[in-house]
Amino acid sequence: MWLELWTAVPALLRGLTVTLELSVLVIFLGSAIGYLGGLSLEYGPNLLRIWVRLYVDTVRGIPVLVLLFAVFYGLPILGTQIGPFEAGVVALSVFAGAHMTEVVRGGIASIPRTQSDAAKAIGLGFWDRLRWVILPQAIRRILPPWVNTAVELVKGSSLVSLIGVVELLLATQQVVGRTFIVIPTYTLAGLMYFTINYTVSRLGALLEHRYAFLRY
Amino acid sequence: MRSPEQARTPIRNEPILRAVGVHKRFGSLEVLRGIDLDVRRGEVVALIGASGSGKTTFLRCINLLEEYDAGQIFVDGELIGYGERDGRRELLPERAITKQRAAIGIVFQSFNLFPHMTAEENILLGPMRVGGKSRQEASTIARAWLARVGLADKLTAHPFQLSGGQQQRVAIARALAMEPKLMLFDEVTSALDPELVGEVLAVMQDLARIGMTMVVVSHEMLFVREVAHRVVFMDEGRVVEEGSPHDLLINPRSERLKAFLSRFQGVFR
Repeated sequence: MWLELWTAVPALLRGLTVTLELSVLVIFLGSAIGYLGGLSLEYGPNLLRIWVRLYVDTVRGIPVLVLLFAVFYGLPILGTQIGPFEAGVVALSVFAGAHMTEVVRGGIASIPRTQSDAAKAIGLGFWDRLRWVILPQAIRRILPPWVNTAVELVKGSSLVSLIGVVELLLATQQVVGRTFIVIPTYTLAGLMYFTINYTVSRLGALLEHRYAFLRY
Repeated sequence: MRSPEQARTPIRNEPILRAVGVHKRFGSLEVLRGIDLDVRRGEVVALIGASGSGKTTFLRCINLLEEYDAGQIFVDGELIGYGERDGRRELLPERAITKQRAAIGIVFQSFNLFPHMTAEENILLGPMRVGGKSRQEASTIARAWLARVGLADKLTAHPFQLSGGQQQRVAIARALAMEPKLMLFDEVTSALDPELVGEVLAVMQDLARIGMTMVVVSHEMLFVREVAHRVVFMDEGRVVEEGSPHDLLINPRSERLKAFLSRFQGVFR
């Protein structure tokens, strides 16, 4: 059994690579959307705010799986051909973006208005206020929920197995199908997920510690 | 001992700040109902009045932390915050407002230092990002002002490592580093423990002595009497009485001011 499990490891690692690629892309794109969305909600003109709010509330109210199927099966109907991996990236990023938007908005909103006043008072323009005063403080508060969302996204990436992307979960299922070694294989896959997420959490905690001097 | 008169430097004649009929409302609440005020170069003007009388709102209008609804505020001859287009009053673009603000220093009741920066960084941010100075030049400026407010040894301290009085002195240094034409002080000692008030007032007195133009909202009546050239009493969004500290504080004319001052009884005897 151990030999069979050992020979299955390369397949699992290939799946892990896909999971990692997908997660990194989605976390990056989701964060980018999140920052744009969060800043729009806090500082944008009314019309933009309404659209972003609509996007966030809609997407947060829909299961990721529905979103995933909608992109994978829906876009081709509308004439856009899209592969399963790409569909996964799009659907998960749209989902991640909505959550990250709220995370970023909350972080910025939690910085007292007096900080903005003080920054205005020394003549800083909008972008300088954001870059030097608001964001450095907001990031400290964005970090814990951001890590939380990132970890959820790594786990959520397993859903793309349902549209045929051979990421870690589907790779595991394929190995189990070949070898009938159920518990050890899933345990191994579970450990891999855990390792990624534990690393992300620890990195977050480390950063948080670095910002510990931020007090009011 | 110095007499109070010697603490005051002579003032020149041209007004650096001129407010004409300034109105401001928050929703249905009219906070400022037509404020007129001239402050000349080198003059120290104290604004006194009960809370809710509009003092703080007026100060915040001067550097446009609040937009005012009607009237005009000129600093050094320049209309603050608004321009005219097709004969209509219009808010200036952000960039122009930002530039005007840089020339007006304000110090807040709650210090509002940037908690993620050291004392030095708090002060050099303005000269660097707004004044276009190099890090080196800005740092020199920051050190000089920190020394001036007696905190040369706190260069690398973060705000949470400083006492309230020290934080407020850093905040004053931060405003001064922009070389403002005018300094506004908004109840800067109200949030301090009594034993820390003196060190902040001493810094302000030092500024008055070197001829800084200051508008000071304060409840420290002894300080007002000793340092201000002129006292302005506000009530319900209007200037009710103004004059020399002696006239106003010792011989108030209006009933409103008499009632207000009765709270400070004993201070002036």
